[in-house]
Amino acid sequence: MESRGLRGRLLVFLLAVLATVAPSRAATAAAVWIVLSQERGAYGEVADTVKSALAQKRGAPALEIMTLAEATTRAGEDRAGRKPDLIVTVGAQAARQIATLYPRAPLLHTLIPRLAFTELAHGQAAVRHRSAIFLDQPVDRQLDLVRVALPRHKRVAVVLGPSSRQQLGELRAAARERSLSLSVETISEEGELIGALNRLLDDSDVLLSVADPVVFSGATIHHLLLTTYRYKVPVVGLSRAYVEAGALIAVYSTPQQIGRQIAEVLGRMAANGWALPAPQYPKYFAVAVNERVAASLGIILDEEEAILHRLMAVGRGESADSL
Amino acid sequence: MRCCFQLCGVACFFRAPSPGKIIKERAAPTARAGYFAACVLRAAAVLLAVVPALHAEETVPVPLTEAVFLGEVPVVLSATRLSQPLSESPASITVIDRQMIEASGALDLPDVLRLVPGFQVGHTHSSLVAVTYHGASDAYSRRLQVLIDGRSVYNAAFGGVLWNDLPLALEDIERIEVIRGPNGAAYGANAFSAVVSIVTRHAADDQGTFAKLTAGDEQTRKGVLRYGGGSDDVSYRGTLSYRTDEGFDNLVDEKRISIATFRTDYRASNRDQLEFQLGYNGGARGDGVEGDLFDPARKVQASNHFEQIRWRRTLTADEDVNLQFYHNYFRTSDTTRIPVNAPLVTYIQDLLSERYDLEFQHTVRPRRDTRLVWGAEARLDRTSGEGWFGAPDLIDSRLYRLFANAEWRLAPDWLLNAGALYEYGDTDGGHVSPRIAINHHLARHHTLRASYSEAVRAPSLFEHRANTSVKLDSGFVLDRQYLGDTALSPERIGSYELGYLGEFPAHGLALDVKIYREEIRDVLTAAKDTTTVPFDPYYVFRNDGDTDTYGAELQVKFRPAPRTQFIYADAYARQRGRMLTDLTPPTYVDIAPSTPRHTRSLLVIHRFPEHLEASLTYHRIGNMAFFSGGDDTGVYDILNLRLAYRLRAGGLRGEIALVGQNLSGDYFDFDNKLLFHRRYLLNLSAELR
Repeated sequence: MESRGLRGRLLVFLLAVLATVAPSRAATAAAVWIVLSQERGAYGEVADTVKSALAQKRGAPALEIMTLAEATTRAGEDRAGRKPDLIVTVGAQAARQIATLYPRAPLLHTLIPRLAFTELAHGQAAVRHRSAIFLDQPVDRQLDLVRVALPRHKRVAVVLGPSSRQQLGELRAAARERSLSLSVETISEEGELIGALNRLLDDSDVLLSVADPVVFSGATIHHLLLTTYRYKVPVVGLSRAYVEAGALIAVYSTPQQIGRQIAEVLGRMAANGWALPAPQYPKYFAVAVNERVAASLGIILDEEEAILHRLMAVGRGESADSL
Repeated sequence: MRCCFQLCGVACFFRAPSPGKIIKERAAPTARAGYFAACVLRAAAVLLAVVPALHAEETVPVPLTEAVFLGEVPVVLSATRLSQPLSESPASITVIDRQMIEASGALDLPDVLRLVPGFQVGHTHSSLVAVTYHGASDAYSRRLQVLIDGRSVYNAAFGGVLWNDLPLALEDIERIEVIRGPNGAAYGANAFSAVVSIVTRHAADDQGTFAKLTAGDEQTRKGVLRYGGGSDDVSYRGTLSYRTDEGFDNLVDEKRISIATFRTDYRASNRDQLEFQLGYNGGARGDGVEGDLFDPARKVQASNHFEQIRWRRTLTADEDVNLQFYHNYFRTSDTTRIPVNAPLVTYIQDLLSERYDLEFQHTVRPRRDTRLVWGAEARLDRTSGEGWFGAPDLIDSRLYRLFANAEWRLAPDWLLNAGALYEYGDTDGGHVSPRIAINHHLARHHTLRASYSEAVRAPSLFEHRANTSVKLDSGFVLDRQYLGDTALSPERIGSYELGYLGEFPAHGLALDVKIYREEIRDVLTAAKDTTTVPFDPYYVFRNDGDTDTYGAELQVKFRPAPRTQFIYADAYARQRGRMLTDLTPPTYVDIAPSTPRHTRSLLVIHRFPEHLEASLTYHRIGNMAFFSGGDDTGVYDILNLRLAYRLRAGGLRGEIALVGQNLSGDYFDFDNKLLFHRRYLLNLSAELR
């Protein structure tokens, strides 16, 4: 009984404190910076989406969108000034530099490949105040795409590079789970790519792209698409641009979709005392299909929308086979 | 799976490799030489760019950034690179890929073409091979257009293709696409009965070192050495090949063939591709008859080369522009003095023929349901051969072409193809070659096609201007042989086709059936003129003859298991027609016996689990007789077997293969004195990447 009384008094006290503090707190809502690696392009689109998604929300944090250059200047000028409650970095460059400039600030890295985030996190001592929304799709989703869109293509080939080779175990497990066979070649420089493809493609039905700058660059994509095409092996690409260039199909997230997810995360964090969620993959995604390549390879594919719906259903745990 | 577009070469709809553009018509010889030199210099510059690039490689690790996902990616598989699916092509097409070429164990290209439904091959000499579709051929392949990476190697001087003289190594071929049927709408004159489009490998595909040695019966020896290198944007490949054999028994036809080819592919920017190639084929070929006064045993020296440059700019996934220039040079040195010690007669059969060709092509998708390819081409053929044309002058003929082919998707399951090519030549005037085809997808994997296509075969320079004779060095004419006629018009063909393409993926089966009717009019023929007193009779050329052929063809690809493939071709043809052989009184020869009723071929390839691959090639050809001296071949069979053992250790791949040819016994395919015997070849090859 006594303890309840004590608790009651404590509650009253807290309410009293809140009553005095709350108005001023409301006036200075949580400050969130969005730091863009570059002002335009995908970075700007992410920021615009977050901004408009939060504009109508009550209790939304005060957003301040700035370029990396501005954030750098500011870090130099007003070290004494008010620190943001959260910094959302957009792009890997902003992630790296902000992590150095604001080592203690809570950071949410976005528009960043998962491997770039892991590298960054490993380089830093304290990682608990860092989280991320990755740009790449989970391996599970990519393999689900193969299963949903190309049910006859059971032999999956993958070329890994120095950055992506650590994903091998995960790929193996995901392929095994889906009864897909997986052939892997690992290369350490661009020059080895064609040889690796020649070794792989004879006995493969589809090539799955795993982001790695040694495997996928402006210089390699040309040879990669031509070589796979000569073997009549379709490529699961990394983005719509790859599909337009000649990959057969891709699952990817647009800057708007990433922006939407950031806005949702910010909304939850605001309601949750600004606790960072665990790093996560894109929640929203799209499917792109190259009809001309499909026709040329003699592959019959469903429409993008239909594939997307089936892929989402599989993601929700519905069996691919029952679809 | 393909048909038209660039990578795959053939264009039944669009022209395969890129075509070209308008030549500076008046380019004087020096200007042309200058242009050519500029091309060579440019290519050299490309090559030089390789060298520093090779050394400048640094291995600073590139960090992974979002650029991989967000970056712009240049369009690689653009419309002209993508092959049309066979089910959407306006013509019947047979594709022979590299694996089939290797598995066939063939040493020469014509033997590979025996795998195409309705194709026949005849040897008059080990160096003179005729390849024909639906028979009705003499010793030259006059009615086939042959393209190597979009470069026509049909020789306008004598009208045909000399397969052994092509500056092309069999080992460089990526695929061969054969459009069975006339295709004047895409390629113009001489794409008459069929088009053989050979696509060589991209230089980037042949990186590293490759060596191959072949030895076998009949003194057959062959060596191939290839090296490929490059960096990100430039790749190059050089191939050397040397081949020798003794030819047929009792015939002076031993041959030495030296081939050198070079190709470089340069990605000048995300949108621009440059490709440069050159090649050489030369050597001594035995000819003549031991003891014959006018045709003594001797060595004919061949010396052929080409240079080709192609530029492609990709504008969008559906639009690109191609510009191509090439130069073919063909020369045979064959001058005989009779008798050798105190010549009275100099018998000159030297021939020089050159071709300069510039071609432009634009592929575009003006509407979502329409694709269009149009372009223009200009060509100069320059020939000289005193013994062929009666005077040592250079003879120039110019040709201009304008073409457009469009494809409309009328409904998801209906596709209409229509196109035409107009050409104007200063010897043959102008004509139009049209084509129309409609494809209807009955169901997934099942397509019907109906088409009508026309083409012409232009008279060769020889048919137009031949003036061959045996004369004393004093100028006195002993004997006339051929006399050309400038009034000849082109031979014309029209072909009606109905086709069905079916795929049964669950059974690994693909079928291609076609029935057709072909009508050839104004057949070009050499007729004997017996009114030529005081000379012996000699030959003149006339447009006098016609042929109607109808038949059916079947092509089956069956892959019951991933390691086993059957490729079967069956052709049935009935031909009716005649052509003039004697002027007075007019006498005609029946064309029917020149075409076999049945032509069949089967290729079986099986890969055993570990290192072994076995393949079997079988052909059965029905009775036929080539024109100009071909004997009735009777029904004959050819059986070849190949057994290969492969090893792989790291980047090294080795193969040892034993090939047995003509195992079902002796046969002849043209002349009953020229027999093929059973023979064995051993191949050793190694590739280090």
